Amino acid sequence: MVREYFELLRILEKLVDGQLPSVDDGERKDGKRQTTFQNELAPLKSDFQVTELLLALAVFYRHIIAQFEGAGRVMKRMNKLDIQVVRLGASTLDAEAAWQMGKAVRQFYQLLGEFEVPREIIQEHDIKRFAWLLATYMRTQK
Amino acid sequence: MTVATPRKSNAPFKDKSKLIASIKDFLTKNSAAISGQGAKISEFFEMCCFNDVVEFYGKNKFTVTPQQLGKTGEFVYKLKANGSHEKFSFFEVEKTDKSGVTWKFHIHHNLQLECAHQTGIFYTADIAVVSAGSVKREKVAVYNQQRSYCPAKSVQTFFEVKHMGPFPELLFSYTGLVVNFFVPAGRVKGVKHIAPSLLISGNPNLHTKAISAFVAARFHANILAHLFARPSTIYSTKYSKLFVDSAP
Repeated sequence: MVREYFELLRILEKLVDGQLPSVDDGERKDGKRQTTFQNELAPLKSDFQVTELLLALAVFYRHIIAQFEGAGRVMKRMNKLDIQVVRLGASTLDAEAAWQMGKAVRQFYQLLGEFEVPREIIQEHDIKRFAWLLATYMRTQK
Repeated sequence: MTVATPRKSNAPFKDKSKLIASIKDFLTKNSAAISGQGAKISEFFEMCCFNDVVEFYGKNKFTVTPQQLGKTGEFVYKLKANGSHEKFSFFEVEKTDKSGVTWKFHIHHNLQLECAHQTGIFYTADIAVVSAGSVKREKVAVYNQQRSYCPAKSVQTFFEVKHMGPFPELLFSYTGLVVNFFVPAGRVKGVKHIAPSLLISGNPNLHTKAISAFVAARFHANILAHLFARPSTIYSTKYSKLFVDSAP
């Protein structure tokens, strides 16, 4: 998770600085080539530490929160089938663990809500699209 | 008369220190849950997809029964390719169709499938739906150890789970699995299965969407992406996907 964060951060920094091609594979937005992509990312430069924090939240979401959500759904269905415990190798997943994970998921979304960060930004896997969504969001907040 | 005061925005870049404090507070409060799950966290997405496949059969009026539960009634997930299938739990799904024919399938996690074109070579599918009772445990040709596997002719469908964003190499390489481990010929009408599918957590861009459409048209296989945001994609009728008839 940490390695992924630093790899994405490195790409993000290069994108913002215009060191990476903004368009590849014929990627288009609204039917036109994104020739002004670097300019569009300008808001990310205004306070790059916030950009870093939100990228960290996105990576954390992907590796932890989304997994917790999945585990919660699994336990819910297992309970319907009268199964109270799931064994994964040497460890187990039970109602208590599912409750703890559910609490973490709720608090994570509360945190996003408190700072008005749209979920779609945090859920974005593609670093270019993440950068674009975040810049667009920041622009609308000013 | 009261005058409404404009709501102060809490956007992250307006009060960075508050965001940092909130993140620290969140991590402190949930450190036990996060560290307690440890290495198995990465398995949850695959487990969830496995259960979503089971949910598909449940929603299609199959009776779902967990089989081979542990000593205390726990469901034992198979996390690795190796090991006897007899030591792990799976789901049995059963349905009698309008013509009175009863269909019974087993849904396994990390089950080895034998190649459709050559005996003795295998691939471990993350999720496999096979004919009930078709999994074998035996010594195969030149190998010393026994292995649990399902012959290709008994494979109803299978799924590969990837916790990442879709990219061209991944999507095209999946088609090799479909070509080599799925037998489309000789299927019989009765009940439908989701066609072999690549299940991906991340969301596709325009290019990978185009590749997915190509894979569907040419290989009759699904690329079901963006499962984090749309977890019901696998079992919900709301999302279109390809289906296949049952292997006899």
